[in-house]
Amino acid sequence: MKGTNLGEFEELVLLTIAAFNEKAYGVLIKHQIEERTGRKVSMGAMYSALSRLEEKDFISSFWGEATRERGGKRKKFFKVEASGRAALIEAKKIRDDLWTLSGDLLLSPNISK
Amino acid sequence: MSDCHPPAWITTILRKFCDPNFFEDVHGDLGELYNEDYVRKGKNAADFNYLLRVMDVALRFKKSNKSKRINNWAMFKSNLLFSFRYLVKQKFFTLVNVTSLVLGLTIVALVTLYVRHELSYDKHHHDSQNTYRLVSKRGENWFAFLSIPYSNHLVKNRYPEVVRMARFRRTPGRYVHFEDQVFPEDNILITDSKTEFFEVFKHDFLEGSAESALAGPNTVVITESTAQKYFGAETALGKLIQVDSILVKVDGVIKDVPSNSHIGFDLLVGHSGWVQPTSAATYLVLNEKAQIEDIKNRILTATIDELTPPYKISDLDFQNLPDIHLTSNLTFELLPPGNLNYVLMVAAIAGLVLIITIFNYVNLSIALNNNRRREIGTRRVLGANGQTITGQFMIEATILVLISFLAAILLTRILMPSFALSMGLNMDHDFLFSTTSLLWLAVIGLVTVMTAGFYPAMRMSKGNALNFLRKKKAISAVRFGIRKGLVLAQFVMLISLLAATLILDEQLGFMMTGNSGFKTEGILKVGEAWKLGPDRFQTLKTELLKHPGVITVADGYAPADAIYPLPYQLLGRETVYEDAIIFGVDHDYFQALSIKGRGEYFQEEEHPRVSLLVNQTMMDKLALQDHSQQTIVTSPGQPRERQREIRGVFDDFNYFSMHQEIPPMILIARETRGYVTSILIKIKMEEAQDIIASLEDTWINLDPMGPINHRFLDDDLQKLYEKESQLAAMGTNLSIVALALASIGLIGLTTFMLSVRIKEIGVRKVLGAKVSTLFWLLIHGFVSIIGIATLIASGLTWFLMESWLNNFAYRIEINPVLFLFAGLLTLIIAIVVISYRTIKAATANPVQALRYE
Repeated sequence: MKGTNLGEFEELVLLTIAAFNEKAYGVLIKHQIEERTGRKVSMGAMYSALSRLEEKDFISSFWGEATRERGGKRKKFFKVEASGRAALIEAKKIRDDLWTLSGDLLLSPNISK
Repeated sequence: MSDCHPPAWITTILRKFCDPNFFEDVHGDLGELYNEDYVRKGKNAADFNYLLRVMDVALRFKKSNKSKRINNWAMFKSNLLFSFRYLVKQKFFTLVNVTSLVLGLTIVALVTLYVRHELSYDKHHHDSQNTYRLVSKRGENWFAFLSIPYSNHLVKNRYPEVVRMARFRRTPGRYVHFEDQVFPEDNILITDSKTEFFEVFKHDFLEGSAESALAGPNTVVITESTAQKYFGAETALGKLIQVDSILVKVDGVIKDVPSNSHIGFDLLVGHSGWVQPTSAATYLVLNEKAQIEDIKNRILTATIDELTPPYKISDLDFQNLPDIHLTSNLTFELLPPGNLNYVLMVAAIAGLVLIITIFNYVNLSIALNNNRRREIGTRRVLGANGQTITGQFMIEATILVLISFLAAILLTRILMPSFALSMGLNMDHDFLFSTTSLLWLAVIGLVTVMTAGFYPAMRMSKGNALNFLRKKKAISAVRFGIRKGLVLAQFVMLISLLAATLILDEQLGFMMTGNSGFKTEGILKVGEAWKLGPDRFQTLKTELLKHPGVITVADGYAPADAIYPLPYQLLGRETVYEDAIIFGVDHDYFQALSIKGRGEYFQEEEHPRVSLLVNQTMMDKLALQDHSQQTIVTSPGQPRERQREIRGVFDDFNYFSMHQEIPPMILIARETRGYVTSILIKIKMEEAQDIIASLEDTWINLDPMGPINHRFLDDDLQKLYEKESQLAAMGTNLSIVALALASIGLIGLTTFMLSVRIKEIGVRKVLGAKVSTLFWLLIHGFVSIIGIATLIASGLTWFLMESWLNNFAYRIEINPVLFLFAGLLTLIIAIVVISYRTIKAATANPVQALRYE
């Protein structure tokens, strides 16, 4: 069902935007994810994710003021929309449910076998 | 952080390929990341990462092509078809256009080859850039050789900077014997055995090898065609041949020496003893650190054995190997040198021809396109955009240029031998088809397409499409102005070329037939007469004089024989001059050349054993009114010093070419001389053939030291003006081509003019205008264009040719009538060309013109 699904990377991006609400923009998101996951994020992949999220109306964007630090280039900021928030909650709920189901088993030491 | 901008070209890639809506989103972010990388990892890493990111983003967010999703191939095919149909429909103009392009491109191709050939001299050797020829100055004269003590010094004391060294000398013509066959050869060089010749000069070996060749004494390396001549298909290596009196072993066969080398030879003899040379062409390959000035000073100040005065040099120069052909013109050059100015001049003219060609194309296609406005208008209204229309015109131009290009290459191939001959080159045939040559020509073709197709295409793809569909709107005056300007420029070039060629021809004629002070007609010259020696010369003389057609047989240097000035002094005066041409002659010399003189020598029948004679220039130089009681000292202070009284003064004659002033001359006349230089035989021209045959026979029977070398003196003198003759020939040919091109241009312009004014002509006729009035109406514009062009061309040509004429010591004055003549000639041709179409239009039934559609 297109429009409600969240990919793993999309989820990360969406969460990061949520964390830095209205202050999140390309470079910041990239750095945050790289820092937290320790993996390389390609700009292309990230922009793809962002544009998909925007297409699904999970996020919206707005232009910041032109500032000197970027040579007069404006930043494009993102914020999470209601449907994005719903999607995140939905995703978390699904996981929580599954965690509850598998919780005891996962935490027992035999599982590694 | 303002000093670390990402490289602009990468940003351009992003802008070009990335979806424009998305560009701004990423641009800033990528810039910020670039800055971070720049600070942390340095510029290179930052650039690299930036490039990667741009590619990544650009690939994911490609520009969408929705707006242009037309079937391009189908469009191209239909364009191609349209172009072909159009070209076939307009057969006449296509033909005219192709002819013009072929002519222009052929000229450009030929000249490109010529220029490339002239510029490519001696670049192919092993280390041309670091190879130098040593040339020396003795007295006031520079020689292409180094006198032998210096050359020996360099061999014995190898300077540390000298990587390799080669030297050789020329020998006059010799007989080469193989078994019982005898071959006359005049292209023999002699070098030391164990030479580094082939490590300095690069030659391809067919037999033997560069390493082993000329290692032993008495060896020879011959060229492919020489080997073919001597041995046919047999192996040449190891065969014994006899060059003059020396038996030598063939040590290698090389490919014929390429035409773009100033050291040409058929046989290169390696000989241990040098048979008493006085000087040698000496070449050094220097290492990178060598300081030329320093080496020069060391050579000049070195203590050198056996340095007697004739060997002593006053100065020394190093000539870089690739520069020799075009920049060096010293006494005793190996090959007649090229002339950089003439090369540039010819290149410039070819450039003009190319421009004329392109003008023509543009002119003609604009004229024709005027009839296509409706076609283009319809296409544009139906949705063809600028690119499609431009594409179509470009395709047309490409087709035409491609056809013309192939035809031009073919024509070039056909014309090249005669062109090379007329320019005095022996250009190798494969030179045309070498990759670089073809590449050059391809570039020229491409440039032609771009420029020729661009303007018409631009005009037809811009502007309001509706205007194209309206009834013919007169083309704006500005455009007509541009076209008139193009035609004017063409005529200026044409008339300048014509006038320049006329002036060139006149100067050439003046030099060749002008007052040289002696009669050149009917004089047969036998060069290298020392091969005969004085005794056998007397026998030859007696034999020849038996022939009724032989008037005089004399001995002495013939005008234009290479000779250099020697020092002299008037007895009783201090000054020693160094500028006199001094040589010995016999008593018949003056009669043979029809030179007159005064003084006792020319009045008396009996002469003393030796008579010293001077020319008028010498008298003027020494400020002498009367020659009696005056004594000249030749070679003062040297072992060959002699004092002789002046016994006569002969009239000035041009010993050298008209480029130079007549030098002061001293001739020493004797009854018989101990040495023969050139033989001058004055004959009746009617019996020339018979005399030449008996001369050749007598020569062979006398068993001389080498083959005979004879030609007419006037042919010899013409060689002095070879470069000028070549330029004149080139000028004539280019004038003809320019004339043809300009005529084609005129056809274009006339056609255009008529297509615009056809209604007007019809109305005028209906109202009773006479054909002659109409004719004048149509051509008076051209008459004034040609008038203006003549004026501009006159000024231009006068200025250029005046500076060219100043190269000559003896020159013509430019006659202004020449310009008038060139202008008139152009006008007449122009009127003839225009008339064909104009008269047709003027006499046509006006109903035809006025009928709609």
